[in-house]
Amino acid sequence: MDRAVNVAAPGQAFKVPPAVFALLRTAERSIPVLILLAAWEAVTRAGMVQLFLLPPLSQVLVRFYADTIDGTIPHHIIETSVTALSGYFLAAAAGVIIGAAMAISRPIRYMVEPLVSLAFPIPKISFMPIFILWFGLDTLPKVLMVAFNCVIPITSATYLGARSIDKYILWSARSLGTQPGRLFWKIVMPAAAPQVISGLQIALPQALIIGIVTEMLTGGDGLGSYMIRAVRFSDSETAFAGILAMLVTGLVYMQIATVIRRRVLRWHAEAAAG
Amino acid sequence: MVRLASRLHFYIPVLLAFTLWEAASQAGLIDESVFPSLSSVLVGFVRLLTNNNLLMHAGISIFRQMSGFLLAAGIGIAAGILMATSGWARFAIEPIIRLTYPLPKSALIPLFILWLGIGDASKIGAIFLGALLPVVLSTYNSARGVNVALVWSAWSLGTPRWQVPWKVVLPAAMPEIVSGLRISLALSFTLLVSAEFLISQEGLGYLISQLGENGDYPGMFAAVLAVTVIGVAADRSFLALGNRVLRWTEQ
Amino acid sequence: MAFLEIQDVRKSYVTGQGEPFIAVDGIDLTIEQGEFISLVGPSGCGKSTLLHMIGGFVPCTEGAIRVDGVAVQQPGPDRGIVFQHFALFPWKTVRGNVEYGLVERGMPRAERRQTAQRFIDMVGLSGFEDSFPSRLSGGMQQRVAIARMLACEPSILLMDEPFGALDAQTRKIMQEELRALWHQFGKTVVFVTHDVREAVFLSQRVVVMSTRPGRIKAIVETGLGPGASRALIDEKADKLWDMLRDEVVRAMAAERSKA
Repeated sequence: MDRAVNVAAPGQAFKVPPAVFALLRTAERSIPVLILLAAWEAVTRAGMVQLFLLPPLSQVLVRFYADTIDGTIPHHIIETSVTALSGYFLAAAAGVIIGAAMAISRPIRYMVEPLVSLAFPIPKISFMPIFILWFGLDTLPKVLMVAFNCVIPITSATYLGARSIDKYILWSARSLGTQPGRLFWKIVMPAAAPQVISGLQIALPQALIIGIVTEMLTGGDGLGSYMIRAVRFSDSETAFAGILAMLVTGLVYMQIATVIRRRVLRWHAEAAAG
Repeated sequence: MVRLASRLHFYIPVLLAFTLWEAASQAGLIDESVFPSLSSVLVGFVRLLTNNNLLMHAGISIFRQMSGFLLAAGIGIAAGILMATSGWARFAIEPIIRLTYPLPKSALIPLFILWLGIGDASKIGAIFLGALLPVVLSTYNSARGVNVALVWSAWSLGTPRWQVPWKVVLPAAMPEIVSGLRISLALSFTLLVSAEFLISQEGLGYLISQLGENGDYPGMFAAVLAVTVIGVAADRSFLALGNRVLRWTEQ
Repeated sequence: MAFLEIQDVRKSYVTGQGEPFIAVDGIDLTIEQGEFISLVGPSGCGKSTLLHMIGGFVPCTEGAIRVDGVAVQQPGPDRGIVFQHFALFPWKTVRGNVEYGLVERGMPRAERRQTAQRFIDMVGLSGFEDSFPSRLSGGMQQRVAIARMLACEPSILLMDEPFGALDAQTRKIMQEELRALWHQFGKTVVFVTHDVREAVFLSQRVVVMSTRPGRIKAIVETGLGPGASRALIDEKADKLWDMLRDEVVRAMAAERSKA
């Protein structure tokens, strides 16, 4: 608001309106991308690569458009999202509860901390055949595999956030009259919120990565199987349309996560910094 | 001595979980046909070592993972530092990185199968590209955040500008680069096993799915255990190396 | 000809929002060899910017800065700098930091060792040669930064609020030590600070700057010898503070209207 006033202020000659400035920056930033895409189209049109390996961008877009209009791609995006988000929310609930329990209780911390720290680096996807053995080939093993992957970062972020709270904040709350039993929910968890949300933000792309892999492995519907089927039939246009669909899905997920973060953490310094 | 004791202490819960697993199997609480006992898994592990070339498969998997990861680390760090120190590199690379970063990395596996077939190259390619973007972005973000006073100090002490990227920016950004690399390391194993599940004739992922198809569940569990141990060992070695490189950070 | 000449210097730039901003304007100042001069003023008066231009870290928009008749184009070891937050290389030990500039100059190893040791001893850090900066207190870190600068034997010392991050007691001691060092070496020092008393205590002349844009408001000779009494220093400092007070209040009001 202040800026708009400034723009109109007299005697300041070289002022560029912020909107124009932002537009110019966006234009500048899209140049390399446009060059890359143009090069893709040109190289494929000129026949410099096998079309099977890299179909022209225009054909990929045509396929993407056709499969979007007839509902194929939206259907697969929804299918993938159901798997990924079910697992994700399961992991979020479990992770926050386990992380909070670890912060409150010493015995729980003692038992769980080594397991979480060991589970972080292992490629959890290697358990997929076991999950299939136990839960069949339907949606359930996929959801559980996503949850298995996402629960680790959420748990440790919650735990670390709740543990690293500044003791002076706790002392202030105590001296302002908060009862000890209520400190955890009134003070510790809100103070840990930025870290919890960071954990949730880290886990979200993982949910998508793992959800898509499980679809590639078990078949059925979803973006993963859509793309792997295309590759198996050497239909590279559809494969690239699949990549495009995944990219769009990933972008939307990240945007939503960023917006939610800003909303929840309005009080935090980073939100003020904009 | 104290350190060793606390190390052992740390693993007690793991041992406890394993004991519980074995006890439940012995007591018949879990179905041996789909959840073999720990003891039969260990027997299966020895069998894999002698009959199924476990070490060969592990060697191939580790080779693929290391090649992809090291390539991604080397090129990613160089690109990130370059972007942070050169306006032209930033102009050319940053928009492309920002646009492609949200792509779920697993999409790269079928792409590289399409491009490079079913052998080592497709796995290495998918791991390389999948791990590359996070490395570039974390290096760039930390290198960009390097205190300008450090750069100025180096200038005023006689360092030529073109030497600043590796004499000042790289070491100053190292703590965040190391933690970014650790995440990429874990991702590289996920991509490796996924790619080997999908299409391969060698490697631990292939071994797991083959054993599963043959109904050799103790063997399959043992192979999963092997992957787990390798993942943890890689992470712990990386941490040890990172702590050596970052000796200067604290204490 | 004066040793350090600042001639009608102006610095303006365009902010991230695309708005022009004038940091300092119309700065004319000459500094003699061996002089200790301080720049004081409210936040945002451009005193640090001016120091950075003398260092050659940022270019002047207009005007010129000359050292010994040669225009400043870029940073160099002839103008050593110490920053408020020390800016030590945290991955190098104390010795590694002090030797850094000597390595860049290509000094042979044995001589380098010896030179670095001399300066480490001078700032009283013997025994900490192999410590990393993260192990040291703020005061010790700033001693390392001073030793690192002095080891390059600069002809001008630029100090950018060097004691601003230290606690009050350490600060006092560092001020006394810096004054002693200056009497010993007689180097030219340009010293930026918020602290009027510090400026009076240390320097021969104090430049008072005003804000928005940064201009020189007054130049005051302290006329204090090394043996000046506390009362005399306080009296001078109070006078200077009267001059500065309005500027600080104005600067704070400007901050508030911006937020």
